Parts: sequence; structure tokens; C-alpha cells
Amino acid sequence: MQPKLEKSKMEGPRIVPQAEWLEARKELLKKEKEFSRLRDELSRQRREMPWEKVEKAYVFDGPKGKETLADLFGGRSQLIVYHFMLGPGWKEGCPSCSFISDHIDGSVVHLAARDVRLVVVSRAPLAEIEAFKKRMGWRFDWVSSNATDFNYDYRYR
Amino acid sequence: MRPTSTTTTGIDDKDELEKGQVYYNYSMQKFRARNGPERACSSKMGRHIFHTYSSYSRGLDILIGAYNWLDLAPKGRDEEGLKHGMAWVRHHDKYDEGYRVGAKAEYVQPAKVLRLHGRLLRATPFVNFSGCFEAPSDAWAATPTQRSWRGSQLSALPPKTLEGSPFRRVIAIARKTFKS
Repeated sequence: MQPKLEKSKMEGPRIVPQAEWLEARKELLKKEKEFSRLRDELSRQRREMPWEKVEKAYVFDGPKGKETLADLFGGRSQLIVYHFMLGPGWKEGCPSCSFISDHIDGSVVHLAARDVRLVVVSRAPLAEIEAFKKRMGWRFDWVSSNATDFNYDYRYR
Repeated sequence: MRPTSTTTTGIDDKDELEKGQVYYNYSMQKFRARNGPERACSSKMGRHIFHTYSSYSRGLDILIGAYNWLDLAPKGRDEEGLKHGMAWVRHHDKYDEGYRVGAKAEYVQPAKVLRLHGRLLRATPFVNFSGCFEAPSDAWAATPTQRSWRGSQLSALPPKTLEGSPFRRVIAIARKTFKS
């Protein structure tokens, strides 16, 4: 399979009549469907992972003041925390994190409707977080873990 | 602030210092490895909170809608030959009509002044900031010149100022890195 790919790269795409194109597309569709099923299966196995109890009390700085990890759930039973790499004193956040975060705002309301709260966490103090958030025009909830071990406990593992 | 002994990962700071590596994405990696962000999921049952999942690096690919669009396009992600996969990525307010992806061009962290325990660390921008890290990015540098400059800045700090600093771990590793 690999040599064939290389060859087509060198020579450019094959130009074929519509019927032949349709055949090729249907062949690929079989693989796409197989991939979808494999992905569903992997997601199922992910959900079957064991859980570990969170033993420490983490307190974050948010726009409304101090918020515990439990508060971050915001009344939902599931919490997704995205660690955004913005450290104390940084002039701007990591570009790759910013790229990912450009995809967050549109999802938040849908996730909330499905019992998931999505919160972004960084180690920068809240004021620095809010300045960068304003520059980037984001609306999602973003809290500071500056006063906690949260990043150390969960990011490096 | 940071527990200095062994963490729950079983990896302690000393291990990381000696190896010049950090624990990321469930393995020890080079200090300048392209460390990325993380997503962690938790679930709350009654009064307890449980950690259910974490993912790092390309494990977050699935969250990047723009990549999914690109994967459907003829040129795909078109990242071959770049210094690393995401080297083309800029903050969304930094693209303009004149933006071109240079094979060797990477994101450059802007100059900044970092106040650390009352001392000012002045940092100049440098290339090869390849990723993101829980540290002031001036804690490491790419070229030998920058390395020695940065090394001298760091070694000029009295060791005591490093104690208890949130950056202690990274600065310690950086020092080790500068020697090589």
C-alpha cells in the first residue's frame, strides 16, 4: 500500500471517469465506516476505564471568586477541564492551546445541555488570564489554578 | 506550594532533574519535547469527585475541528517539512493576507519581563519555542549563545530565591540542560 501512495504523490492524482471515481469513493467509504465503528469501540473502552478518587481539595480563582473543584461542575455531573498553557508573566498564551480553544465557545452550550461543564484552567493569575481572554475574544469559563497543585497533580501524569 | 517529594505519579523532581526530562503523556520526555496541553475529565458522584480520564499531545487531535476540515481537503494538514506539526499555527489575530508558512518559521514568544520574588528576569524573544509548557518560556533557549546568556541569568539568581518558587522545578531542569 505504501509504495502505491508514494507513486501517486510523485505523479499527481489519477484523473478518472465519474463511474470509476464513484467506485473508488465507495471503497473508501467502507474504510471510513470501519474507522467510525472502531472509534465508537475505543470510546466505549475509554468510558470503561477505572476511576480514581480525587483526594485533595483544590480551590481556583474565578471571576466570581474562589471556586472549589466541586464548584467547577456548575451543577452538572460531569466536568471537562482543559489545561491551557498560560503561565504567570507570559505575554500571551501558547498558540497551539489557542488553536484548540478557538473551537470551545461553540461547544459549551451543547455540552451543558448534555450534563457536561467545560472549564479552562491556567496557572497565570486571573487578571492575566482575563486580559488574554479579552484579546482573543473568548467567552468560555477560564479559572486560575495559581494557588493550587492542580496542574502538577494532573498535567504531568 | 508544590509537594517536593514524590508525586502521585511516583516520579519525583530529582528524577526529572537528573534526567533532564519531564513526565508528560505518561512517560518521561525530553525537556524540550513538544509538550502540549491536556484534557482531564472528572465525574462527580455524591460528595466525591473522581478523575476518569486525561489525554495529552495528539490525544487532543480529535478536539481540533480545523484539522478535521483540513483532513478532508486535498492537501491535508500539509505539515511535512515543518519543524513540527503545529509550527504553522498562530494566534487567530496574527494571521493576515500576507501570512505564509515558512518551513523553518516558528512561533516566537514575545519579550517579557518576569518578576520572580522581587527580581526582574528580562527575556528576549527567541525562535524554536516549540510547544507549550508550564514555565516561563524563557527558561530554556535554543542556540548555544542564548543558552549561555540564559544560563548566566539563571545562575545569577541566589539559590535561595529558587526555593519555593513556582518555577523552581523548571529552572532547576533548565540549569541542568544548559550544562550540556
